[in-house]
Amino acid sequence: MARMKFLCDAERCIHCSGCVTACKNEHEVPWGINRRRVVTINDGKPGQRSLSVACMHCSDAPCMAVCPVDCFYQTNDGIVLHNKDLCIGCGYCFYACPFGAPQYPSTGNFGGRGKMDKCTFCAGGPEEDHSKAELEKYGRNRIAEGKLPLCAEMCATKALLAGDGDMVSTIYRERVMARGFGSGAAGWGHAYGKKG
Amino acid sequence: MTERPEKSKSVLDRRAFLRGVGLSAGAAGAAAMAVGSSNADAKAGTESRQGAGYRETEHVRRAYEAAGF
Amino acid sequence: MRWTTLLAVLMIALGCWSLPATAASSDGDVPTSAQSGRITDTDTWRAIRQGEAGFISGQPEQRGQLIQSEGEAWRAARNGKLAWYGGLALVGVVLAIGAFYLIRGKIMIEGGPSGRQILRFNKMERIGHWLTAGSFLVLAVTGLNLMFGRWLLEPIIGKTLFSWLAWAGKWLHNLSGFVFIAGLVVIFVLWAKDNLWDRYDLGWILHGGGLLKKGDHPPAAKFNFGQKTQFWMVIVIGTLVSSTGVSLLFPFTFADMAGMQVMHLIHAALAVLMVMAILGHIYIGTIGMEGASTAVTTGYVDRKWASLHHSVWVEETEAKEPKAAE
Repeated sequence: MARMKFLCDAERCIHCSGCVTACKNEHEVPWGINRRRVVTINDGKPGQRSLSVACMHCSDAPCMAVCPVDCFYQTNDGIVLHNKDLCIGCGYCFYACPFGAPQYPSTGNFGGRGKMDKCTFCAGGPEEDHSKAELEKYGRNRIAEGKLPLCAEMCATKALLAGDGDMVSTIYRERVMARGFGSGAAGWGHAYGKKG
Repeated sequence: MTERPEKSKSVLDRRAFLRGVGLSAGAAGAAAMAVGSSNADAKAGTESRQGAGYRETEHVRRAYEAAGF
Repeated sequence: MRWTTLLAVLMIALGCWSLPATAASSDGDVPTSAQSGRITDTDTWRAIRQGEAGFISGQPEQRGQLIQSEGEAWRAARNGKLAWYGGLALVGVVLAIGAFYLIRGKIMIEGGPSGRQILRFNKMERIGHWLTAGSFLVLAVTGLNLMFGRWLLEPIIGKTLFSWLAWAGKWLHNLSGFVFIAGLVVIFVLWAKDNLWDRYDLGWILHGGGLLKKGDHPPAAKFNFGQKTQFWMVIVIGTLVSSTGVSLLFPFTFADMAGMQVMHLIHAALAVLMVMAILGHIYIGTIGMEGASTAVTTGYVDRKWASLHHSVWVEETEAKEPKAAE
């Protein structure tokens, strides 16, 4: 069984933010919400590196564990999805998430949040594949189309890898061997842990 | 004289209380039993919402190839 | 010719790190690849893992943090210790109250009610009580639902209905919080002076509040020591729960991520404590004692009940206004 994973190669990411833009466009993500983000560490200093982050689709997903209405589910491919019809916008998943993935449109009383939105690994939601409801709530379902997440597919430097975890790590390993340096994969161990 | 009716009343109260406890426990159990089946349905519903899922299509293979440069 | 040109271009291009390398090698110290800035060193990875924030453009600054691990601790505390110990404590209190009822029974008015009524709480006091109590009941039920509903209620009623309940509960919780705060202010203003330590309290404590033995009624003024403890518990814990609650209501206005997590845990843990104490309060005010509940409904209590439980208060009231008892 294929296990879907993301990996961002810090040696290759050039902070072009193409992934962020592609994601936002592909899924018609609402105002103020970005499912993916690019962060530059040591900005302007030696050792400057950029990383693209979104939901990592953790093996033992903290969001799933703390959700009071149990709206999350993990597909057979290991993709963590959620049901926006059940979400009450409590914000617990955001407190628990190591990667700051959950985002909320701020509608509601006081600091109240709307229904949570996050990266779906381009796999839509609980609605029927390619349905209008799925498109409106979760965006395109590229996985069901037999494709990979757009952010990774269109990454110009191929820094962002997505897909079957075994394939992703093979590609990355060969790349590290070929260039002879730079083998850290941020968040990889944190998200996929011992369970793989 | 005054002690007797009071005592019997408290005994009655105690019995009513126990009966209440027993009844509510029974009701909770019955409710759990009754909805057990609908719960199973809900679970099945969750699991069937998987969609097509990942397939290694020609498109995906080409994406991997491109990433491996 | 062409080959040498290419080499020259390459040398210029690589100049930025060939220069320090040659400088270093002149005194025999060859820099590692990490020092040259070509390789992401382990310190960078460690910093990211420990929550290092970087520069982010076009998005909120807080999103610059790549990995926050405190969420793991928060999750472990909420789903682990808090859920288990909180749940056990609540079940334990219910069982303890049940056991107390079985052993001690309902505490009756000895010799029966006198039939003469005496005003215990005026209208304002009753309003204060119910502002606090009514909103507390709503807050407690909806709050416990968020904590335990997923495990207790959702398997029974199904996800869709439960989600609606939880959503409505969240709104009710957010709104009734303000009612609760108003109630706290009212009861504090009205009752704080009656809840200070007085000379009857020590005796009340030594007698175990008269709870343990039938017919034991240590003297007390308007409030006995048990009620005073309850009152200050409500004021102190209520204030803490309210203030953390307001901070949670306006996410990231008063606190950062770690602050929100800690405040959520404090809010939930103290709320569980308060529910435990209030369960006892509700018990002794209703099924646990004859003649007590009317104090907060009609405001009047039987004079006999009052003279048993609050003898000093009855004397003082009647000394002040001889016609208070009718």
